[in-house]
Amino acid sequence: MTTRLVTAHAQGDAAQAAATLVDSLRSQLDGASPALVMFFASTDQPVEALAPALTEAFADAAVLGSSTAGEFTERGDAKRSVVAVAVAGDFVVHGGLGTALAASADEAVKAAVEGIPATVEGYPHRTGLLLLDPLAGNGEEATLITAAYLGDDIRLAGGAAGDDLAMKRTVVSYGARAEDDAIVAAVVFSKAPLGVGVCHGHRPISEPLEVTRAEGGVVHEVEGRPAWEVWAEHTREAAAAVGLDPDTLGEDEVGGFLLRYEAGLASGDEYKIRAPLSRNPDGSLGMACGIPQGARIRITESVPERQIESARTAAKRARAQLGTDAAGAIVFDCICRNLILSERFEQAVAGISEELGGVPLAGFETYGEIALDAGDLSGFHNTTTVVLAFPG
Amino acid sequence: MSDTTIDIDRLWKLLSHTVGQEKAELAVRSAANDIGLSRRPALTFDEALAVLEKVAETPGIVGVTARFAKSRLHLAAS
Repeated sequence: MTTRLVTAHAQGDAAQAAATLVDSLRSQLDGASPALVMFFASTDQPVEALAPALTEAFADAAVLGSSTAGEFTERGDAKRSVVAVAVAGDFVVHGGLGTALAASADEAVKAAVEGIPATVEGYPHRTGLLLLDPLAGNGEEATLITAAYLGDDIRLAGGAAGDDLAMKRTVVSYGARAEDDAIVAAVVFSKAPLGVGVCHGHRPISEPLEVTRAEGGVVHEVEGRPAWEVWAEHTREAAAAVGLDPDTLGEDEVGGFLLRYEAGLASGDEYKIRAPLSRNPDGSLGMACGIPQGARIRITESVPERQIESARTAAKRARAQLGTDAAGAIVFDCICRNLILSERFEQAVAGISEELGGVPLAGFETYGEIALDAGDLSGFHNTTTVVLAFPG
Repeated sequence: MSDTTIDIDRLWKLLSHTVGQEKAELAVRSAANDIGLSRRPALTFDEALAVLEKVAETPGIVGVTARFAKSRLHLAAS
């Protein structure tokens, strides 16, 4: 069966947006029944309102949703709106949702995966989809635990929910149920492999710095000083070049600033990027994923050209895994890339579609990205593009 | 598998992608020391698992990463 992947975009209140999305997706599907529907919504259209409406409209599909920091399709990117993607074809999708992620990633993941079968006869390929609340501060743990539960051969793709840079509450949904402090896990069983590609474009701008006090998802001190103080010191010059000053940021500007200048953990010749999401009154930084005390980091930045090129590279890598033409893609792209690229972000999105053959795609701007291939040792990323391509 | 030896450096590299090189090496060497294996540059497969199990007792991301690394070690050995 040929894959049909269709996308839609809507604005207005949640009820209006849901109706628009349903009409558009159904029209484009032309009678085909989707196995998977995903939607990515700004805080203007609460996930709690959209999830029941879309689940009712597509009762035979697995419906997954996330709040975002921005959303896009192949037609362009937008804010204060919602996008959706529906995939019909030789796919079977099972999933679930687990809560209390911050308290116990293990228990939350266990709850999310408990209804997922190990195999589906006739569908030999498995690709995991994850959506999670990054404000729980344990994105990497949750990703690795999910991979451990789903089996060593699983590949994972997904993203951390956003909330339009408010850094207050991010929500994910499975079916009609929407929660914060939660994780959604699903497995796409398919007859042909999906393709997962990942790439970031950051480089270090500081010397190595030791994380001298950290606990869970909070970095308290770097080199014995409050983390924010060290961040401001090492980013001041680079920030000035783009018209930013860490010393005069409004509280509503700090989140966006931190997403430009992230921590890099050395791993061989590469850096695993870790995003600070918030500044606490005591100068500590809340991270999307914990950095252990004693680790050495370098503060990093990225430039627009590297961001555009890395998006294309992620698409190329996803396409290479398909073994056939792509029908379309779902993209998880860090909000910081939108902040760096500004009006050129659409160019990066267009590049992804071009690399895949000019296909439809839908995605959202995340606070963290998930990509883990069989054999990988880490699955949670920041400032990265993750492309999940579906075979034609 | 019983004849396989694993360089202790390989163990901390399994963790480094998630927690960074320095922390990974510290965690593995400390665990090896705690269970009396610190003077062994090469470990048997069971000894390597024992080191990772010790690291897995660490709360937070270091422990979770060690648990995951154990499964990756099994995968590599199979």
